[in-house]
Amino acid sequence: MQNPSDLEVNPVGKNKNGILKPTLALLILCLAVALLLSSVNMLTKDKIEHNKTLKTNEAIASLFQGTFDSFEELTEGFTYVGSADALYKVYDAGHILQGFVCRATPTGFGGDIGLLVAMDKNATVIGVKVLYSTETAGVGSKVTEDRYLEQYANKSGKLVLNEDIDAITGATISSKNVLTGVNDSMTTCRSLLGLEVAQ
Amino acid sequence: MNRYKSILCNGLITHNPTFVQLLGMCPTLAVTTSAINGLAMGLSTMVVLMFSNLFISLLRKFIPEQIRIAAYVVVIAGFVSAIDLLLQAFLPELSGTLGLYIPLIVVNCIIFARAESFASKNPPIDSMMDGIGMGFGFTLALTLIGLCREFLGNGSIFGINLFGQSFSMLIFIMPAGAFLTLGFLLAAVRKISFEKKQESKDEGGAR
Repeated sequence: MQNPSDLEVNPVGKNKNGILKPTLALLILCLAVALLLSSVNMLTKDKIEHNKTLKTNEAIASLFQGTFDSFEELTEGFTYVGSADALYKVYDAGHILQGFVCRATPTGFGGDIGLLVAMDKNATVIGVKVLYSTETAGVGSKVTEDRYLEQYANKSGKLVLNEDIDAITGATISSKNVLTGVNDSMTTCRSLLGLEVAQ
Repeated sequence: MNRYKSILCNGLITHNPTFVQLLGMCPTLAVTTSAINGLAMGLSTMVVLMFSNLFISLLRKFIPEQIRIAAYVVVIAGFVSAIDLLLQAFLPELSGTLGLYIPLIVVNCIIFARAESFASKNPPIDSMMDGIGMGFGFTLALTLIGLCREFLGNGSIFGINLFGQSFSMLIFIMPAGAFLTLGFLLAAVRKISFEKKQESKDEGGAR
């Protein structure tokens, strides 16, 4: 059986003295690859931004279940608490306020967890969605599943792990961090509404 | 045709990158927490392998020997980054699932090993076949390891729970379990190939 790697020998000979040729070759190669990459980047940049917005839209729509039409980012009149980093007002088709969505990025066990917390006009949780996470597959990743996140519906006030919300077995840190994200979201929203922080 | 078949078999069985060459151990151990993860990583690596082998083979006459490693790095990293961007833009669903693995492929030893030992010395179509063969072998190995770890660690196969929530030996989803599973599978593969060698020796046929 013919050994496949004997089929052809690299014809570029060993030239230990020349430095110009290898340098030039590498330069041209790097230029070509850089050119290729920047073209691809230019081609895809807008589409990727568009996809990100689409994903957020979809997540918010699914949290508000049919009453969602548009949202507007708020920039003043409240304070960001903890891991919360964006607050939106959510309107229906008639531009009537339906509630709020807060984005929080608590640090999980394996990195940041991107959360969207939907709340009604009294800062009570409607639902929670995980936008992205890098928790351990099969263990911490369970906090992204509905079975865990469903528990947050209709909760308000300062939540405590294993009292208000059951943690996932073997994923205490991930569970706790999602809980912190939700708490931070509720507190941020409450600060907008002028409500006292629950204890 | 025969030549292509032998190249494919080479990658799939006789020189399987995971069980025989012991290449790409890091992603193998990290990613195989479930069968589907293993399968996805394997297939993505195969696509990259196929094209990186092809490109390196096409360029093999232009890359001087002294800079070949640097050249491989540039070609492979550039290529994978381009794939990552294209996936994010045009196949966002797939990118969401695979997104974590794509950057990991760049540092997969298999890509470099095949570029160095095969693609830089062989014609393009052969190199592409080698990429497919090695990629398939890698996918097979990863899926097998993933199946074992998922079954023992979670009681499920490809996400389908077989015994309900209670059956699980968590250690198999942890890094320690990765080493254990790989070790036992490796031993099994070696035993089988050893016995096969004994068989063909006994039959008096030197291949």
